[in-house]
Amino acid sequence: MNDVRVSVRRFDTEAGRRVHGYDVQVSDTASVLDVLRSIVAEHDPTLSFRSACRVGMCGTCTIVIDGKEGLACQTAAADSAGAMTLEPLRNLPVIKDLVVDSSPFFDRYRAIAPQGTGPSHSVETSSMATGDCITCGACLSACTMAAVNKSFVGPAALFRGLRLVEEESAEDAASRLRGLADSSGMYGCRGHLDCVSACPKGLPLAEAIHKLKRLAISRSFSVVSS
Amino acid sequence: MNELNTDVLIIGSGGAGLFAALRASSHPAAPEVKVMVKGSFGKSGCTRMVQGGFNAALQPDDSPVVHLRDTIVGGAFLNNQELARVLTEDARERVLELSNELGVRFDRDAQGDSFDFKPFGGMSIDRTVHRGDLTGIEIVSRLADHVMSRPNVSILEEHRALEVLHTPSGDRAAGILALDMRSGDFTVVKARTVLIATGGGARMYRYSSPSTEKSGDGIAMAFRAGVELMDMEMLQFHPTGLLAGDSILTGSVVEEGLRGAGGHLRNAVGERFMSRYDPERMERSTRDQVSRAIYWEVDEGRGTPQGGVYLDVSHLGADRIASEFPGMTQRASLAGRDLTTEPIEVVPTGHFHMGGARIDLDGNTAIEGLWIAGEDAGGVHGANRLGGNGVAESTVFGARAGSSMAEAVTHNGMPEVDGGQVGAFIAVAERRLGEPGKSANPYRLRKRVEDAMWDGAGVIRDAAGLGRVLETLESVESDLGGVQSAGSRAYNLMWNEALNLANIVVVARLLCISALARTESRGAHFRSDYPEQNDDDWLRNVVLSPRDDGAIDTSTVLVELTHLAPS
Repeated sequence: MNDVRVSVRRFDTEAGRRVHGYDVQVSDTASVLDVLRSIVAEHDPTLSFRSACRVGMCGTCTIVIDGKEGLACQTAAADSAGAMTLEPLRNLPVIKDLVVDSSPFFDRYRAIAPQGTGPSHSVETSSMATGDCITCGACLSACTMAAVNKSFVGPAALFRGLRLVEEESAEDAASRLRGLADSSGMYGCRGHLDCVSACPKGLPLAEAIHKLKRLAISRSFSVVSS
Repeated sequence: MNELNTDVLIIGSGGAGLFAALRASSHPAAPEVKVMVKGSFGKSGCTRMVQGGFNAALQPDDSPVVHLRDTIVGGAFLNNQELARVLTEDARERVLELSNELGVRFDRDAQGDSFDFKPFGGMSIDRTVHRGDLTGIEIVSRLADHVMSRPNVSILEEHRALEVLHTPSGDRAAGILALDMRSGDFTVVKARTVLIATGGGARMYRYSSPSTEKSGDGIAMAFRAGVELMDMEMLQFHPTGLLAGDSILTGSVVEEGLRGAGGHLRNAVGERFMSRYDPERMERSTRDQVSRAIYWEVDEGRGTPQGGVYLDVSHLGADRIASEFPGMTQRASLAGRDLTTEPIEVVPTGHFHMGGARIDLDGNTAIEGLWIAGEDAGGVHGANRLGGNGVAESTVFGARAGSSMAEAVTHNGMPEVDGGQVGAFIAVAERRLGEPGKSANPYRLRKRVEDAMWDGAGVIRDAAGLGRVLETLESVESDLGGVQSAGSRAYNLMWNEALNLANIVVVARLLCISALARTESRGAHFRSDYPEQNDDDWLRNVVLSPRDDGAIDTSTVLVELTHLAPS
């Protein structure tokens, strides 16, 4: 067992913002989620956080751990060297403590029409088929551009957008690409790469956005020349 | 208190809830659909956690009839054979719809002409369609993309459905009373049609695999509302749940592929013990056999320090393990083990509830206006579910319920709810709020339930053990009355855990009563005092009916062997 000082940035409408410290004992196999569960069960039942699948498949427990976005269930607590700071995701309104309102993330995601118009090929056409996005919101939390550009749809939406561009019919793909070619879409990204280091699934988010930009440039040249 | 109205109200956003929402919202009458979710939309429930895949008879030499036979044999002839027939017929359409219309990308063969069909246990032909070994994320993500984009669908996130509401005359369902977890306020949603699709209660055990927010809410509230349940004793244990100390990771599934690839199971004295139980198939034996073998090894004192057995794949080569099973390698590392070079500790884990509500082919219950689909329903899988039939069930019956509800909307008026019922239910829920510092601890109470269920109503059962569990449940229920959740109403986890536990106790009790009634062993249900399968007396479903005075009636009905009988 290791002794860890856990500092949690808390908020609620009655008590406002504050940082609350908990001294807890952490076993070698405990995750940050285990730490949060034990705080609520044995130390302070008033602390609020979110979790569901606890195996890295749902993205519900994403928080900021020692300054970096991560899935609480997939982050080992024993690595914390005696102290750990937990905060809610950034760029999203806090409901209570570590619980944020993720609707701005999904509003941005929904803005690109993520349902698509149906695949035009039976084979996998995605050039980024390295893993699946779990819409955890970590990328939007880390994104410096999303912080200032409220209309920017963000990395997760653009990652979905590229896959749709690559699997929809040529006509639908061209129209989708045009729709994404502005500052709320791909040109909202300035390549700071914060999303790449934040993504708990290690998805090539910046590469996908870059590819969208290259596709847009090549299509617009062909439109001009035709 | 908030009041809302809707044409279609769906509780749950797993495969069943999402497909129902898709179907209902697509109806030409464009009914207003509300999806109520206890957790985050599209992230709660277990369809998202599906690793293996989706069974559908799509190979040229396969057919729904063969899939049906496998499902009934796998279910030890306890299935409702008409429900199983519909499962196997509609599963093909759902896979093609997911793939061709909804944008789900399943793995294909090298040419891209055909799906890649995985071999799964109990299948006479390879028929499991999948996307790598994380199939559920893709299915639920694409379904959620569509549902969230429909103009006539709205989503009530982090709304915990508490009870089914009836009309003042009690003649039909009229809506749902919910707790808005974010604010702590109550919401009454009046609805012409209601679907319960919350998923089951396997988390009532010390070791269990499902998503942690699941607590049998759907089954518990359906039973309280008067719905009959069948075969509640039938709960499947996955043989290899990970042991990771007191981490919540404990109980998560270590995938069957590791045994399929040639992994060895050994007890604490180094024996490959499966040779005693199934010398032919060894580690590749069926889920129920391997689960019981592990349970007995531990019970007879040959368990590991954490009370399980060892699963060792290191002889297959570190590179192969790391490349073929990256997810499992990562999961083991969180438990402090290197899967590629050393054994990990595993134990059977509560996985899936085959038992559930009695429904017709469209998910209708005996209560007008109330539908149930997915794991909350019973009958489809009989005494044992085959891997790959779970997501098939939720999508097939979710879709059918959604269509059926949209049809009913055209002739169901907007009901009035019984105001007295609303007040009484709110009073029950609010009893768990109160003076901080005076409370019993619901987390420790829950552990008592989980331990008792594991010891007395788990992989191996007998009458005396089941009786002891029922006594524990009674004592926990009484202690639960003393839970006074601290803090404000908003996002109060302790209050929610008390409400979870109240439902878990209900489902656990129903399971025990049903397990006592079935005096034989069949499929997932093993009675050490009745160790044989008894087809002469027990080709019967155990039916539990709620009585108005709170008592539970137990009866049995003969299985209708309309398609296949035991030879």
